[in-house]
Amino acid sequence: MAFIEFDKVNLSYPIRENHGLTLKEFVLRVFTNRHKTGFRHIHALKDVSFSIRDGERVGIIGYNGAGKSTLLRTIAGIYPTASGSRTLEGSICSLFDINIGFETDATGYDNIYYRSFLQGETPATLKEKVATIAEFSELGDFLKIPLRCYSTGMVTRLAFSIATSSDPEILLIDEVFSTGDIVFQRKAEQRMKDFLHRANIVVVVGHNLSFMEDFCQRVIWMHKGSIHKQGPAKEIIAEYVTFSEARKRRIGGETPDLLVA
Amino acid sequence: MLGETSRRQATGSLDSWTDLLSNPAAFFGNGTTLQREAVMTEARTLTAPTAENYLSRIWQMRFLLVSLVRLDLATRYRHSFLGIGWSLIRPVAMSVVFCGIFCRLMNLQVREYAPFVMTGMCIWQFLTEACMLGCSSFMQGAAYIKQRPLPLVLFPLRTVLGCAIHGGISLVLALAVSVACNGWVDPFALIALLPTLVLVFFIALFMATLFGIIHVHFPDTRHLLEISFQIIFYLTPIMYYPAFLIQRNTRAIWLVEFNPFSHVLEIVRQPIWKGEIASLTSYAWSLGWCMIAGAIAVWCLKKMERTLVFWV
Repeated sequence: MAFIEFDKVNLSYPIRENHGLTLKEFVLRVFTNRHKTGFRHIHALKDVSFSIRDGERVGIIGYNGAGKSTLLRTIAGIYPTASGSRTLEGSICSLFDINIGFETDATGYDNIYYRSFLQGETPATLKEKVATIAEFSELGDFLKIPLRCYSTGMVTRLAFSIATSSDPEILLIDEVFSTGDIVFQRKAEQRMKDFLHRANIVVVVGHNLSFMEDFCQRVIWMHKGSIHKQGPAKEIIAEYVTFSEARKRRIGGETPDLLVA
Repeated sequence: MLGETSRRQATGSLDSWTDLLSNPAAFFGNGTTLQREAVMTEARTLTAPTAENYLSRIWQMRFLLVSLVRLDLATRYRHSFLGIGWSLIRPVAMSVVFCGIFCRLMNLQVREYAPFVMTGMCIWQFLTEACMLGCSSFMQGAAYIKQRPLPLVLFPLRTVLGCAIHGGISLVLALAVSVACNGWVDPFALIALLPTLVLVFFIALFMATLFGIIHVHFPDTRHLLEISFQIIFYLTPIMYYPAFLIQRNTRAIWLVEFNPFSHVLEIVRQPIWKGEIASLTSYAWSLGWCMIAGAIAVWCLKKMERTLVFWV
């Protein structure tokens, strides 16, 4: 039985204006005796508690910078919690940005292997799978040449075929992907549906509210790093829509919230 | 479904090494570690990773590790004519130049000097390369780190394994030069060389991990290292015999006695060059260095393991 349980989880992470501390900054700091560190902490999740049981499909909504993706990455165990407890059972598959993390110098086949190994597969379990992934992607002989020769659509196609080939118990998806050309898309839709049905728990983050309303039973509404509301999908989404329209009228458009601790 | 032939193509050349790796039971006596991470609770794998757990997580990622090392080897000299041959040419060319200069300048025997300088160059190149490339190892693996919680040491390990393969090839060449110049090397010394190389590998791994972590926070590390290594190169008996300094009883003798690089060079060079095992002092220094670097690296990794994802 898969489950996810968050109890008063807090997360804060540092952001730096520059990438790392340069020698110049370091020397200046030592000589001028100024201890300005050049980075600040973002309190990205505040006392987040929820639990997701086996069989549930949950959507996470909210404005940009509300902490949706951070929450998803915390569920996946990529971000560490500062306090609170995160308990989870089940194998995880996380699809955040399926197009990144490819080795462009390696062939399509090799990249199928890398991705699958990253998901914890072994060559023994892969032999069959590679053939099906290759077949679904319809890339044929292109799979034998390096990825840098691929078009963007082809990379997406490959990424999608690999991503949807696993059988996780917990599936975490950030935004709904766009996938290659139209013909492929119809086929992709079916595969995506099957993929979503196979998982015991699915957590989706995104702005596609109509999809969420259809697919999810429950929605978590994130606002400024904490859970604003959670409950049945239809109810919460309706409330969210009215809220954002009122907000749009008030401030004229969405602005991301920067949460400085 | 694809036919049998294309399926074979799909699995490609991976068969040779994967067969070895897919059967860990033969090596470790249990095949259970192969299972996918089925249960992942905060207590078990995230907040308090035990050493055993950490190692088993590395073991789970062995296929990814080996694939990436192979990819690095294949792409490093992608568009070059000589390919992997370049990793041999550098120590060879440097050794030839040093031979040309020093043998004339100081009246040295080419037969004695050539294997000396060649072996020294190989080890030096391995250690410095591991540290320099280690600097960017976490940045290089950023895409993986951001996708899945992975044991971070995987990335310096990837770098150092790649360097070790290059270093290993050039070391074999150095051994061949030594055999050509002085006849067969004592087999006992060669057997003793194996654990020594493991020790040197771990020194390189710990240093690469350390510099990788430092580099993430302090991007000037690489440039500082580059300059430091250039200076240390002249302060370490690589192109001159350590005996030079000892016999003349100069003040510079501390360069040999208190320079960890000099001792690490000694423990690898002595068996290949002279066919004898290096002094206990050199081993003690090397082991000490390995343990200190290891302790600091483990401590840093423990501290940074989970927060490094924010910095890459």
